[in-house]
Amino acid sequence: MLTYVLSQFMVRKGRTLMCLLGVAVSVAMIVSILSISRGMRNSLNSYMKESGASLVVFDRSAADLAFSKVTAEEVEKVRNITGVEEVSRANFTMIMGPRLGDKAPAGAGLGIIPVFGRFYSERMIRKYEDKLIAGRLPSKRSELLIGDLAAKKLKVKVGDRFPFFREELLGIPQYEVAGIFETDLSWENLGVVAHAEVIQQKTGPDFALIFVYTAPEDTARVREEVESKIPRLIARRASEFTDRFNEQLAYIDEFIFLLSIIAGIVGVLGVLNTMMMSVSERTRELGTLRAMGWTGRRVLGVIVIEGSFISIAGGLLGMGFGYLGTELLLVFFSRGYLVASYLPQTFLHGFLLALIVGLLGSLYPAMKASALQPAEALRYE
Amino acid sequence: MNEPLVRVSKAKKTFEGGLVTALDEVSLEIEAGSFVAITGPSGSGKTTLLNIVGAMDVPDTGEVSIDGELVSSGKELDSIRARKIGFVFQMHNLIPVLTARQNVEIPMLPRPLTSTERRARALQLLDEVKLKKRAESSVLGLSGGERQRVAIARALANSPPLLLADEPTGNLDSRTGEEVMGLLHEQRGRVGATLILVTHNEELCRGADQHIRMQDGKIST
Repeated sequence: MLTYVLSQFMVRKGRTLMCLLGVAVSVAMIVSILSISRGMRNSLNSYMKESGASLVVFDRSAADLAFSKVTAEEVEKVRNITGVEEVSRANFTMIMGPRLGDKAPAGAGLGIIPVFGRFYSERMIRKYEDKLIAGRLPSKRSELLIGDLAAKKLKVKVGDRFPFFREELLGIPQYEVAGIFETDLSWENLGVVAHAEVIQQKTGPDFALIFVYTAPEDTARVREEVESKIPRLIARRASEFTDRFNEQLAYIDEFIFLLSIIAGIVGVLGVLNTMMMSVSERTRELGTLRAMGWTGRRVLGVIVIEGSFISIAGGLLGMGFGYLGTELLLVFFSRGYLVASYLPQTFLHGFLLALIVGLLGSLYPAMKASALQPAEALRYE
Repeated sequence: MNEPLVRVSKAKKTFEGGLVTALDEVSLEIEAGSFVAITGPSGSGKTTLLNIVGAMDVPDTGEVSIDGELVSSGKELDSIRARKIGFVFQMHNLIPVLTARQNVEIPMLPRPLTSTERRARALQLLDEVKLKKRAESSVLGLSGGERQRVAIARALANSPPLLLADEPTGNLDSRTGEEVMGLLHEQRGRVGATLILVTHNEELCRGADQHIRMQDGKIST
């Protein structure tokens, strides 16, 4: 029976290939989106863990850290809680990269650059100590750290001074590169660490979040106290922060689920169309099989297996396409801001999608084929 | 007296909501091992009769039994066809994507045989129809006569007691047609099967133990 099923594909190579590619593209899209989504989450997880902080404190109601605000008074309240060893304030913005005038090649510096604001006297800046590949940690407000990808992009090196923010082209003091760092996170490497007060000029006096350092035995109590004294804020351990982030980004899962359904429907329609045509063209052949004693169930099985074969092959191809497509996306289009994680469950998701597409897409044609009456089917022209 | 292999009793079959009567209370009995020819003009009901005798259709009223089994409906028809009946069609109806051997194996797939057993049986049958050398050839590469020989081997795959041939020479030249008919009779004789032949060609009816002439859904002779 397998020979019979496989030989059908050879007869209708073109159509089988088109259908297979349709399923592959659907699966590739899902694999790619899932890989990038997982990659972004994992990279944020790493970022928070590397901070070395016991707690991360931010605005409870902010849908995203970009909208979180922690005031200077609130920072002081946290700092005064017993057991808090240190507090590092952090703010953040994203800017259009600086134009470097005659120094830069055409188009350089036009990308979006994340800017992480830190106070150089606070502990958080020290996380870059062992990430430096050139220079030193900044100590003055006019100095900054730059990620190695950003440095390459902007063609700057340690000691270079340049108008980092565009308004500085209008005469505001330039900034000096104190050091170049390299972390495991490409989007951090594409960024710049500037003095928090510089960012405050752009975003206002509030901070996006604060990193709180405590002795391990004090962490739980400090956390409770932060939330009871300042109910507007939420305190989370670094590992829990990612959970919180996941919760905030649950809509991404919903979006992926929706995309899976759309991709699935497209795939099902492709398989359905292919199998319907196949059944229609083979009416006499199926009638002959029935005349020779094949049961309707056996015919149904053959058609479902055929549809599933196409889908599974499409699914396997789609996994490969998904991986290659994501890599191409990362290399040529993401400018380093995207990260992908290729988890087994992502590929399983793609494979299951293909399998479901195959089963659903071939079920109706299979039922139609199995219901064929041999005498009628043999008369079919 | 022996039970006839096929017994049709007052079988009536209508189409298009009863407007067209294809079989009008036809009754007949066919002895095991006999050669039966069914002739008649187009639309006389011979194909409908063949379908009913071949368990591919059931009459609206009346009864049909094959080898003692009552032909009713559903799964039983599939089973009866698989065990009791071999078909040879005018257009041979081979599966074009398969080889000669694979085509002969097709009716054996529902049976509990290993692939080795199926293969051996198919090769044996192809040998009997003098096509063993072409066993692994695609049927698309075979001549019309060779294809019909493969169809005969396929019809014999499950050693059915009843062979139904619907215009088996209709698409062949007269010489090849004679060869195919010769082979069909030879194989029928070898396995002791009953052959029911539907044809327009009176020549092919020579030697028939029973000649059924159909006219307007009835047996005229």
